[in-house]
Amino acid sequence: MEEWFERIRKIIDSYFESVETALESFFTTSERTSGCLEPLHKVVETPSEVIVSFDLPGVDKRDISLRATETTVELRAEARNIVRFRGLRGEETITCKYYKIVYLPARVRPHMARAKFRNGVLEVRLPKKAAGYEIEIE
Amino acid sequence: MREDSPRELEADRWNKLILLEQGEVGVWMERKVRVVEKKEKRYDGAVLVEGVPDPGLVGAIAASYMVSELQLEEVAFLDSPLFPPFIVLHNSEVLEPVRLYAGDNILVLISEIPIHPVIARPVAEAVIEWGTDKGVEQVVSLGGLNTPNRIDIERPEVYCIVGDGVDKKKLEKAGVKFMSEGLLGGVKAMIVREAIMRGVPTVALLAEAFGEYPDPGAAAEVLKVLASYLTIEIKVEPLLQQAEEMRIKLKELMKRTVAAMKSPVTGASQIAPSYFI
Repeated sequence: MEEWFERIRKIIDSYFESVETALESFFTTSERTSGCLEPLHKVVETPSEVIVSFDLPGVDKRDISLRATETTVELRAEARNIVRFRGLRGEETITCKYYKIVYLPARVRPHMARAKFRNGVLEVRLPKKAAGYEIEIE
Repeated sequence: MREDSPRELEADRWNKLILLEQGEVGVWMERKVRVVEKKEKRYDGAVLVEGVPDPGLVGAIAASYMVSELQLEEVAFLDSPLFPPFIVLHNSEVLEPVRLYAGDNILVLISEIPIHPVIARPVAEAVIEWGTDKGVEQVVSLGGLNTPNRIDIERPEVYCIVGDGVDKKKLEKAGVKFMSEGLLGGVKAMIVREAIMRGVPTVALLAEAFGEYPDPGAAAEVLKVLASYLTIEIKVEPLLQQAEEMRIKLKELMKRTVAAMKSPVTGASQIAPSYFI
C-alpha cells in the first residue's frame, strides 16, 4: 500500500514539474534571477574528437570568450541587444549574457582545439588526448 | 546513490503514467484525440498544412509565421487526455496548446507543446480523419531534417516526400529534391502515413536544419518552396529579420522537443529511425 502511495506521489510530482517547465516558457527561473542565459548546446563524441557546439543568437564573434581544459569547455558571451518579450508579468526585458560550462565525455588536448562561428552557432572541435594506439595482431 | 539521467527520468515518468492510466481507465492507447471546432464549418478543397514542433522547430516556426503573415483565424483545437496539462496565455486570452487556423482555402495546424512519439499515432489519426471529413484535399507537412554539417551550409536544401496524386513537376519547379531512401519517425511521419492511407495527396517538405537549435533560416527555405508550390504569397524577409530574437525565445520549446524526440519509451530507441521529423 505504501508503495502505491509513493508511486502516486511521484506521478503527481512529475505533473507539477511539467507545469513548472511550462511556466518557464521563455526562460528558466535561474536565468531570470542571474540574468545569464544557458545557451542550447550539444556534445558529440567521435573516435578522435569531442565536438561541442553552442547556439548563440545575437552574439558577435568578438564578444565570445571561450576557455578549455582537458575536461571542460567554458563559454561566456554577450549579445548585442536586450530582448523584450511578453512574459507572465507583461512586458519584460532580459539582457542576453550567455554562460555555460560543459563537462566533456573524454579527456582532450585543449591547446589543439579549433573553433568556428557562423550565423550565431559556435562549434569547437577538441582532439582527444588518447585517440588510441594501434595494436599489432600476431 | 546513482543519479538518474534526465532521459531515464523522462522514460520512468511516461511508463508510470501509462501504468496509472491502464489501471484506472483501461487501455491507455485507445483513448482518442479529438478536434473541437469553434464553429462548425466545411473546408472543401482546402490544403491542410501541419507544423508541429520538430528538429530545428522548422515546421513550427514556418507554420506560426504563416498564421500571422496570412492573418489566419483560429477555428479549432485538439483535445486529449494524452496531452500534458497546459494552457497557453496570449494577450490575456486563454488558448489551447494545439490549434488549427484557417484562411482562404488553407488550414494550418500549430502546437506550442512537443507531441511525444508515444501519442504520435492517435494525434495523426485525429487530425487527418477530421480534415478528410471536412473536405481537405491535400496535406502538406513542414519540417526539418537534422543535418550534422548545417553550420557549413549557407542555404539549406529542401527535400520532399510525396504520396500519390501530387503534382511533382510543380515541386521540381519549386526547387526541391526528392528523398528516395530513409526511415522516418515521429508525429510528422504518422501524419504523412495516415494521409496517404486515406488517399489524400500528401507532401512533406523538409529542410536541412540544425536538429537541436531553432532554425528560422531553414523555415524560410521551406516557406519559399511552399509558396511556390501552392501559388500563394508569403514574404520571408520579416521572418529572417526576427530570426535572432525568435531563436532566443524558442530555446525552452526546443529543449523540450529534443527531450521528447529522444525519449526511449515505446521501444522507439531500439528501432531508432534515421530521422525524426
